Amino acid sequence: MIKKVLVANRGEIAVRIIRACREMGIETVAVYSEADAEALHTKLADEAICIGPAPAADSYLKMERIISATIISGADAIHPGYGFLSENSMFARLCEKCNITFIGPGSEVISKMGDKQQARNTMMGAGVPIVPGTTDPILDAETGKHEAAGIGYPVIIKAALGGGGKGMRVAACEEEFEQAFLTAQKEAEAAFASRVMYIEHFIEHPRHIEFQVLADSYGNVIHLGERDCSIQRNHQKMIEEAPSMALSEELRERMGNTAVAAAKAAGYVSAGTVEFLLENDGHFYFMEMNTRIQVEHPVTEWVTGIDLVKEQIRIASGKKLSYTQEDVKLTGHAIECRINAENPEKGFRPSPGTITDMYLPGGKGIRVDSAIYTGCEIPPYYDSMIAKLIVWAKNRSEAIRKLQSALGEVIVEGIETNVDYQYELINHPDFLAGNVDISFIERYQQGL
Amino acid sequence: MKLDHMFKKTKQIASRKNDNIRGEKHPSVPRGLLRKCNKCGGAIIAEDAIADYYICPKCGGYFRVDAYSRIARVADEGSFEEWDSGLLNGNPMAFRGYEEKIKTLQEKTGLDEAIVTGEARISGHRVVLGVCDGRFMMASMGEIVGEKVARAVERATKEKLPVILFACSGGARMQEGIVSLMQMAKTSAALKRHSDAGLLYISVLTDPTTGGVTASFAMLGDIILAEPKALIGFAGPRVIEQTIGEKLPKGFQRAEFLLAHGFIDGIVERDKLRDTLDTILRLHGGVGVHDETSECGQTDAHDEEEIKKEHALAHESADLGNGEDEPESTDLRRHIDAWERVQLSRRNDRPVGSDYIHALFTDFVELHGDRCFADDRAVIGGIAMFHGTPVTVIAQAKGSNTKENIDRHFGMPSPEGYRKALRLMQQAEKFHRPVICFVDTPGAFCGLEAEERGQGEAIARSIYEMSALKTPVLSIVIGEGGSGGALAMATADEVWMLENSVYSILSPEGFASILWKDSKRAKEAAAVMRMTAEELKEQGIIELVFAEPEQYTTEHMQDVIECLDKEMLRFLEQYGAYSMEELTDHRYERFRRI
Amino acid sequence: MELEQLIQLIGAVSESKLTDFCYEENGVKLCLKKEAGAVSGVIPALPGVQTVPDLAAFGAVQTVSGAAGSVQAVTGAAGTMQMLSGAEAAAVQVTAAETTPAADGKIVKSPLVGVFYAAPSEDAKPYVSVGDTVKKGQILACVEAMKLMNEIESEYDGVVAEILVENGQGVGYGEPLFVIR
Repeated sequence: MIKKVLVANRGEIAVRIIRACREMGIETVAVYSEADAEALHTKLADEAICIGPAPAADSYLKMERIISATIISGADAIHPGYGFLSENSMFARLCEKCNITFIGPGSEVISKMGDKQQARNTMMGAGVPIVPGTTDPILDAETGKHEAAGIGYPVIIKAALGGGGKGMRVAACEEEFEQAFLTAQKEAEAAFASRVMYIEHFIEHPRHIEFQVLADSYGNVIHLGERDCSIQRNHQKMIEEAPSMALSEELRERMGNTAVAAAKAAGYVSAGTVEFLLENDGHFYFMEMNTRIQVEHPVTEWVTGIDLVKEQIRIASGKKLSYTQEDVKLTGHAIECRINAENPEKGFRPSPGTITDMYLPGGKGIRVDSAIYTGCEIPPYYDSMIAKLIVWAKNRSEAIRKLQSALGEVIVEGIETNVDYQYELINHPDFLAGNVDISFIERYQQGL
Repeated sequence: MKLDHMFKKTKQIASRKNDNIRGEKHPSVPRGLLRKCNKCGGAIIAEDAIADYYICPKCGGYFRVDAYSRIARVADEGSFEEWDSGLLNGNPMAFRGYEEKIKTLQEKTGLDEAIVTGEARISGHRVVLGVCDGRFMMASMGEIVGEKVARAVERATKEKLPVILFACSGGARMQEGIVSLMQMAKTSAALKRHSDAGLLYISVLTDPTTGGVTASFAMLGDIILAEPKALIGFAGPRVIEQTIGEKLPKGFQRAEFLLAHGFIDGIVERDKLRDTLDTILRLHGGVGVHDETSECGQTDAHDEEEIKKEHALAHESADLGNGEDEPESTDLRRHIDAWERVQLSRRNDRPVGSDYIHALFTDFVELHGDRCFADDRAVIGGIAMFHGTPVTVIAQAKGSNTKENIDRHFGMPSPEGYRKALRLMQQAEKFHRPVICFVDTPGAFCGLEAEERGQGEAIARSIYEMSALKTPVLSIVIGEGGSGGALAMATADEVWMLENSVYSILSPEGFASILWKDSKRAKEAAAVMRMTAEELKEQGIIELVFAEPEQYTTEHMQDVIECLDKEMLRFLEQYGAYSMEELTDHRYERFRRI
Repeated sequence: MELEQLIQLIGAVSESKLTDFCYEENGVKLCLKKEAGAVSGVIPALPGVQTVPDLAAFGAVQTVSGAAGSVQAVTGAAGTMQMLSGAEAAAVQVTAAETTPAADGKIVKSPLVGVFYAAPSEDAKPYVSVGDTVKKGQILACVEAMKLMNEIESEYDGVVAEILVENGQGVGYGEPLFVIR
């Protein structure tokens, strides 16, 4: 069993992991940048080691410093959280080479699922439905145009190494293709230093449905139901809920089984997420597999009663899953709302600064995962998410009312937040009716 | 709120007692996982650097690459076939401990000596490869290294294959004494025979290339490439410092230093090396199997009369393109006087040499340096593809803005510029490539240093050698054709001019000042000098004139490029059909009759 | 050891002429060190090491030290106190932010995360000792990170006034190693 975990992350997820460890009697080591000397995770962990200056590239992304900190602190495992090095196969491989338990899947799985083309090929082999698209890397617009004609417009052009909406463009027709391709490729080259693109059929107005899976090293794989993450702005999720209104019991079973098959095909171990695009007619397509704990994992925790971070640690310690598929029962409805230090009125510009005062809600069915406290600094160097408000109730309408009530209580002074924007959003008739797809925010903003 | 020591820490620690951590399971860093960059001192993940062409991800510094890894990066997968491995090493001086040292190194490195030679393919091209390995006595050249190079080159000569040698060496091998010194002669002599057979040799210099290797095979390439920042020199920097008792400047003897001093053709980054070699081999396509008769033999089929007829026809068509097709421009041209044309030819926004290179050719590989003193930025030269035919392209290069102009000396070549041009023309002759020159210079650079290094000699030599160059030569005046500085690159089979370019004995200002003691009378001078394209064509000094659009900038080059392209095709077809003798006779007559 | 005893001990050592005092019991090692001329007033908190503000909190830390790595603590009294447990020598709560430069000295910090070594090898002499005159660029110590030795050079000319970490101790980024006066 793991005895001491180094948490290679910051913010609420670092705090979340430290808490899980403490409950399990596992010692924790935090790593922090000079900007995070006073951060909650630094103070909460049993030990803390400074690993570099503020920019993430010099601290939270510095593999050798994190490994070195692990060695000198005597930790035997690293939890990478999400973002930063969590899906870096080289980092996972370094851990493997240094006999450090990487709490996540093996480096090869990360590498395979991180390359979109390889991931698609793996899934195709396992009979998981895939959005029609190219199988070979596309490097020039001419070849791309030819392929796009075969796939059928509209098409989306994506960078093979992409993410976060960078290096991604939609072309509605052949006339738009070349421009879209060149722009996306230029972005990809700048952001990921790779010109490799691929093209797939663009599904209009799909829902983003993802399935949480758990897999141990003994080949046991279960799914914990879905999360509906259709409310996204620029491909960044804002509100996530479980279960999804769009899934019938039958469809849930079918998609769940597909997610399990996908995880098995990938040789997956640990907690992971299989993302699908769901069309109105019930057709669904594999999008990608996230090989880490997700930001929105609490909604699944609440409807299943399973602590995902603890399960990750148990699996990494070589234990068998504590649950079978039959044990997993979805109860009630959970919604998560992300609170970011950003200014919606100024194009969602990040709003770092000092939190001079704050009040966060509590009560039955309300959970707040955050790393903020009165007087803490929100540094400008990292992600702007400062808290997650998660609610649970018997059904969706009660959960929404609870979310409305709780979000209405949130007070964060000293910086700008998206709380008011989110509050408007959860009062929108389409949201109330569960009538959302991934372009909801786009439409909503045009309506503003 | 201060949170220092406010929180209770983990108390109930999961049982540690029945914990039997085995030694190998304990977290620890295996040796060699990280390496230190010897350039920046940064800790880097060894695998990371290896995956990235042995380049430090932090400072971009290059690690030395062992021979087989180098071959794997350069040659087509599985194409390498090693030659002459296991040659027996002697100990000519009976140097104590030498044999043992060799044996230990052989065991340690798995190499038999400091160089690996053999045949490989690069993007399908058959080549002979030789790669030095610094791990073996710093790849010093003893008898076996010399022997392997000589044998590889000899076999390449026999099989008509290009040779690519990756040099990296501490120099001669002291332990072998004079025998080692003789390897310099042996390898050089083998390469001379290879070159005389019309074959291509590319030398790639890697860090460090010094001593006897620099002073023999490394510096004899038709094309010499180097890796960035590689140390290249004859005497080692420490030896020089000790001898002269001074500290050497930063960057001394690095690849960049050699490039600026004209000794290498180019610096190529590791990740682009394979592509560059591929392009160069393609531009020398067929050199491995070159058959002289194929080029010259054809001429018999062409009746000389027919050629002349074709020639005349071509001229007519070009004139048509100029005149009757565009009557408006003819009209307009009448209003432009000589002085205006002089001014147009000097305009800042007029397309410059590099614009023509990019517009007319593909796969341009720039080659630098005169192999003597410097690389003159006022002359751009290299090899390129023109409709599938490799050609040597040389352009007098002005810049398109002040900064570039200063960098390029306002297109005024120094002696080293002409020597670079001549070197490339002679290289073109060796590989039977036509030469295309773009002339655009106010005149040869006028200054102290230029005279010290023999500006006059350089121009004279260029005219002298060009007159008898055994390959077709075409010169196109695209702007200013100033005096001897222009002629040094226009002793050609045909000389063409753009409508608003000029070509003269001297600038009108100079002319006025010499003859009338008043440089302000330049306008008047321009009128009497008969220096415009049209006037020169009338005099039979040039063959063709190309019309220009009213606003002639890089955005409006298309029509001119199309006409040039068409005529250049005709030129290459026509002159390519001549025998060497006919070609040089024709060129001789061209100037003899004036 | 009980808290009261600890306080008594510190008091006794502070008043004595001793400059150095070590005591070991049940795997807990206590070292008290006194700087000449620094008896009166407060020794500046070691920059880069989070200090235990009072002895009540110190009690809590003691529990940890019994189990895991080591804990460094500086008392507000006229002495430097270190508690080391077992063979492990990992630093706990190492921070670089609250650097209060030592009275009139310049601090040489660790540029990376690793293990501090005062000497080039186990039986070799330390690179420098307290009182040595050093020049800018002179090697003061090594920090081993992932099996690579990184030499720590002095950024200043001066005299080594203090060596703030023990041989073999883990150090974080920006952690103060030397005071040069």
